[in-house]
Amino acid sequence: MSKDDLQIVNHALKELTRLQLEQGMDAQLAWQERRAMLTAVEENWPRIPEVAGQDQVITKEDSQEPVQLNVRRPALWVVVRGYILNQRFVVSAMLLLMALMTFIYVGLL
Amino acid sequence: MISWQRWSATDVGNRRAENEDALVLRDADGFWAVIDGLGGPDAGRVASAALAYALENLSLQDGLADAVDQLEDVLVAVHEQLLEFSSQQQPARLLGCTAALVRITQGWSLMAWVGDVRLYRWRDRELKQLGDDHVGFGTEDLTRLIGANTMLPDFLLFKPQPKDRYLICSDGLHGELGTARIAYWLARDPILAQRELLAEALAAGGRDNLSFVMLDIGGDDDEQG
Repeated sequence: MSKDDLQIVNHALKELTRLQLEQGMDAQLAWQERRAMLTAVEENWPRIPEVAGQDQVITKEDSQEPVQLNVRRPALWVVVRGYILNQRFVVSAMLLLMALMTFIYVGLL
Repeated sequence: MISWQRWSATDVGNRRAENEDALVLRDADGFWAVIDGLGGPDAGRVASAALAYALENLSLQDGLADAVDQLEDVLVAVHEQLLEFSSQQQPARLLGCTAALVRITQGWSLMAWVGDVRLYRWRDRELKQLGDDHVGFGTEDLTRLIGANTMLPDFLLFKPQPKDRYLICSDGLHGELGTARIAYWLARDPILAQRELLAEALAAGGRDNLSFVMLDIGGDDDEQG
């Protein structure tokens, strides 16, 4: 069982919102995708591993000095990925595929 | 079965004339929100109060998909009301709010957020920020605001565990203290943490209104707060 299950769901939720805001995806379609995904997630909630999410470890106990957040300039692959993601058709296709795979995977758990 | 206990505080800070933040504290429902109003006197307070009122009176949905729809609907509805309200001002003015909403149930848990109100999780002596701020890359400028432009909230699912501690806080707190000091106090007794988070943020400047909700997660043997 992957440790990234809820991470994938959270990423898909964020992408659905982003695509709607950028008008790269129809709101009705996004809503349907989200409902299908969340319904499957709720049904399988006890079996889905803890989320790694979009979170990051930022500090440990008893840190006394301010710590540098782990924010870096985007690497080349991130820039390239951003360019690809901006192609709406590709994004929509990838998102649908990801949502479908998540749905099937969660359903099989 | 998980349970929870809540500590919270809100303060005007040292520089502002009034507190434009608002808290929603529905302990029995497992629903909390920290709302940070902005727009100056008589504006930010209107925005945060409007959202707080809507959330206080919400009849919460049970299912996860329904709950997400519901929170999105209410945030968008308040957003549109604030847009309408601000357009009626002469001259039109920017007003709005940022917010983080947390729902914890026995079946699932989620956060909805807009802007830079943050949710931190303290677990196994590590502090994590769940979600990310809606700000421009390398800046502190908000890219999403309830009451301005086009707005949709983001959602994140998470799994609370016994001994987790969560902190929902406005930028008046995390902007003054930074993550190291937040981690330092979250490792302490909750009453001490509640008092000192507020005191230290004020001592550090208190340049903004500051508000937070701190939640301790317990298991079957703990009393629900």
